[in-house]
Amino acid sequence: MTRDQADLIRELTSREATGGPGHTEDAGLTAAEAEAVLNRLAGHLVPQPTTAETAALINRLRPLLPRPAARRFRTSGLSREPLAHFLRTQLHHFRPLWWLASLGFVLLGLGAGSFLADWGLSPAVLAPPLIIGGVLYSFHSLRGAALELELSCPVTPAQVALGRILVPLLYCLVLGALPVLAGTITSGPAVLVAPAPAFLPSAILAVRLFLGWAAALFLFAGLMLTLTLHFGTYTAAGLSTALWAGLAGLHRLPLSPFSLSHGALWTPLQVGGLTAGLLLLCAALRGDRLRRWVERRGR
Amino acid sequence: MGVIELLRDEELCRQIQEGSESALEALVHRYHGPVFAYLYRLTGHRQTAEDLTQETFTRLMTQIHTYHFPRPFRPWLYTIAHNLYRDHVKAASRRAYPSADPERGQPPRLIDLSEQITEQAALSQALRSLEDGERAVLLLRFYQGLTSEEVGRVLGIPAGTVRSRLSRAVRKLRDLLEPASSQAGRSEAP
Amino acid sequence: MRLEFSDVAAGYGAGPPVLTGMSFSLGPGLWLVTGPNGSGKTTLLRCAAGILPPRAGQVRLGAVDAQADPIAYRWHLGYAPQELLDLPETRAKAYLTYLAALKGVRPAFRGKRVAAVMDQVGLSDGAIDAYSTGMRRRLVLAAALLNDPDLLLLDEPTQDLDPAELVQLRMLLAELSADRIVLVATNLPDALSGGASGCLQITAGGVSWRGD
Repeated sequence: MTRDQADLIRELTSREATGGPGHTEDAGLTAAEAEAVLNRLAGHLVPQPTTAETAALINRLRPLLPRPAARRFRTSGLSREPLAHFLRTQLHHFRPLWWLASLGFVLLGLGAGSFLADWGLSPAVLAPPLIIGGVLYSFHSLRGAALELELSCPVTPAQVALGRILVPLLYCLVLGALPVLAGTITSGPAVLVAPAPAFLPSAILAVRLFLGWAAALFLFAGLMLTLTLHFGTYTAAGLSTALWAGLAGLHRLPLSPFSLSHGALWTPLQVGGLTAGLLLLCAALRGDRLRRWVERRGR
Repeated sequence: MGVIELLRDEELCRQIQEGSESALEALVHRYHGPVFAYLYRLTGHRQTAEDLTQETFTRLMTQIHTYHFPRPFRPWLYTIAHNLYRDHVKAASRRAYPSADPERGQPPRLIDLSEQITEQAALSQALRSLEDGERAVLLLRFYQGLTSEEVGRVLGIPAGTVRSRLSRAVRKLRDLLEPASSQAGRSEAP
Repeated sequence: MRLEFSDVAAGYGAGPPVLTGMSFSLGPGLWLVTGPNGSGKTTLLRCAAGILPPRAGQVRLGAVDAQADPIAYRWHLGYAPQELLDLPETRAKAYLTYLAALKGVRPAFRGKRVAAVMDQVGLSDGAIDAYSTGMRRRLVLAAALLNDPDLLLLDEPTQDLDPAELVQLRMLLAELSADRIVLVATNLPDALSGGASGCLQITAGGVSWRGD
C-alpha cells in the first residue's frame, strides 16, 4: 500500500467521513473493506492517448503560446514624430490624378484668361472651385471607419482636420503662382484694366494678383472647412459653390472679390477676405467644434 | 530525461507564460493521459473524453496568462476539466446520463480478453452507478491523487463534504462489488 | 496596466446619455462586452478609445487619463470599429502604412510591421474596395494591431467572418490577450466565451459582471 492510499483509507474510516458518532456499525466502512475496494479500483483500466495523439494535441496548442517577443516592438518601434512628419503622411490621401487635375484646371483657366478679362473677372475666380474640389476630395473619405481609425491614433482631431486641409490649401496657393505669372508676364498691366494706375511695376502687380488669389483661396478654404465640419463634405461643397457662383455673378460690383476693377477699397477688402478665411480656419479647428464633428461623423 | 521534465508543474506554467515550447510539451506529456482518464471515467465515452480533453488544454492555454506562480497547478487543471464536463452534461441533459443507465457506455478496450473483461466491466459499471458528485470526488481523490482540500476547490465544495462523499462512494462500491470480491484474487490487474 | 472607468457617462451631441454610471477596472485578458442592440457597447468602446469624450467620470489606462492627456492615452491603444473601411482607389498595404505613420511607428520599422500584422490576421495586399466583408473585417483588426497596443478594442469582430475565420480569430484573441487588455463588444458572446476572462453586460443602469 502506498502512503497516499494509507492516508486515504484513514480519511475514509474516520468519524467525520462515516457520519459521526451516531453512525451505525452496519453502514460503516472498515479499513480492510476500504483497502479491498481501493485495490480493485486501482485495477480499473482506461484507454491511454497514443504518442501520436499527444503530439497532435501539442501541435494544436503551440499557436496559443504567449509571445512575449512582441513587447520588443512596442518598446522600440514607436516614436513621437514632429508635426511636419505628420503633414507629410497626409500626402497619402492625394492620388497623382488629383494633383494633375488641379494643375489642369488652373491651366485651363489660364487658357481662358482673356475671356475672364473680357468678362471683368480676375484670375482669383479660379481659386474657390480649386479649393472646394480639394477639400471635397480630401475630406470625403474621412468618415465612418476611416475617421474612427484616425481619431484613435495619437493625434488630435484638430491635427486630423488640419492635415487634410493643409495639403490642398498649400498646393492651391502654389498653383496661384501660375495665373499671377501669366498675368504679369503675358499681359502686364493690361490684366488689370483701368482705373488701375498704369505706372504700377509688374512686381506690385504680381503681389496684387497673388493677394486676390490668396484671399479668395483662404476665404473659401475656411468656409469649406467650417461647413464640412457642420454639414458634411457634399453639402459644404454645394453651399460654397453656390456662394462662389453668386459672387462671380456680382463681379461687376466694385466690392466683389473677383472684380478686375480695383477701387480704393480693393486692397483692404482682399486683406479682410484673407483674414476672414484664416479666422474661419482657426474657429473650425476649435476643440468643441471638432468634438461635435467627431460625434456626428463617427456615429 | 531532460531538465525540463524534472520541473514542477508550477514552474512549467511560468515558462509557458514566457513562450517556452518545451515547457508546453512537458506539461502536455505529463497530463494528457491523466486528464483523459479522468474525463473518460466521468463520461464513460471515449470520443467525448477526447474532445473534452482537447478543450481542457485549449482553455488552459487561453487562460495561461491568468496563472500566478506558485498557485497549485493540478487543482486548476482539473477545475477546467470538470467545468467543461459539467457544461457538456448540461448541454446533453436530455440524453440519458450514464449513471442513470448503467448499461450505457463502452467498456475500456482491453488487450487481454480473459476474465479481466468481467472485472473491468464490473468496475466500469460500478463507477457509473455512483452519483455525479460521488464519482467526481472519488476520481479526483483516488485516481488523480488530489488532496481533499484540492478536490474541494475543484468542485466548489467544502473539504468535509469531499470526505463524506468519498466515504459514501466507497461504501456503495463495496456493496456493489462485494459479490465479485471473491474473484478479486483470480482477476488481478497486470 | 489596467483600464479603469470611473462613473462614466457618455452620449452624442445634445441627445440623452447612452451610458451612465459606468464603472469597472480591467487587467490583461479577454473581456467581452455584451448587451442588447443600442445598449451602448459601441459607445463604451469609443470612450475607451478616447474618440468620444465622456460627459462625466474618468477613463484611465494605467496612470494616463484619457481626457487630461489624450495623445499619451492613445499611444498604446488599438481600435477596430464596427463599420468597415470604404476607401476606393486605396490598397490595404498603403493604407496600413499611412496609419502606422499616424500611430508613430518608426519609418525603419513601418514596412515590416505592416507586413507582420497583415500576416497575423491572414490578409494579403489588394484594393480595399475589392475585398470581401470578411477581409475588410480583418483589415480593421490589422489596423488596430499596428502599434502593438496594450489596450485592444474590437467592435463586433466576429461579424462577417466565416467559420474558419472565426476559429482563427479565437486563436488570435487567445494569443493577444495573454499580455494585454482586449475588450470585445459582441452580440455573439458564445463564439468567444471559451477564452474570455470575463463578460461585462451593459444594462440600463450601468454594467454588471457575468462570469470570470
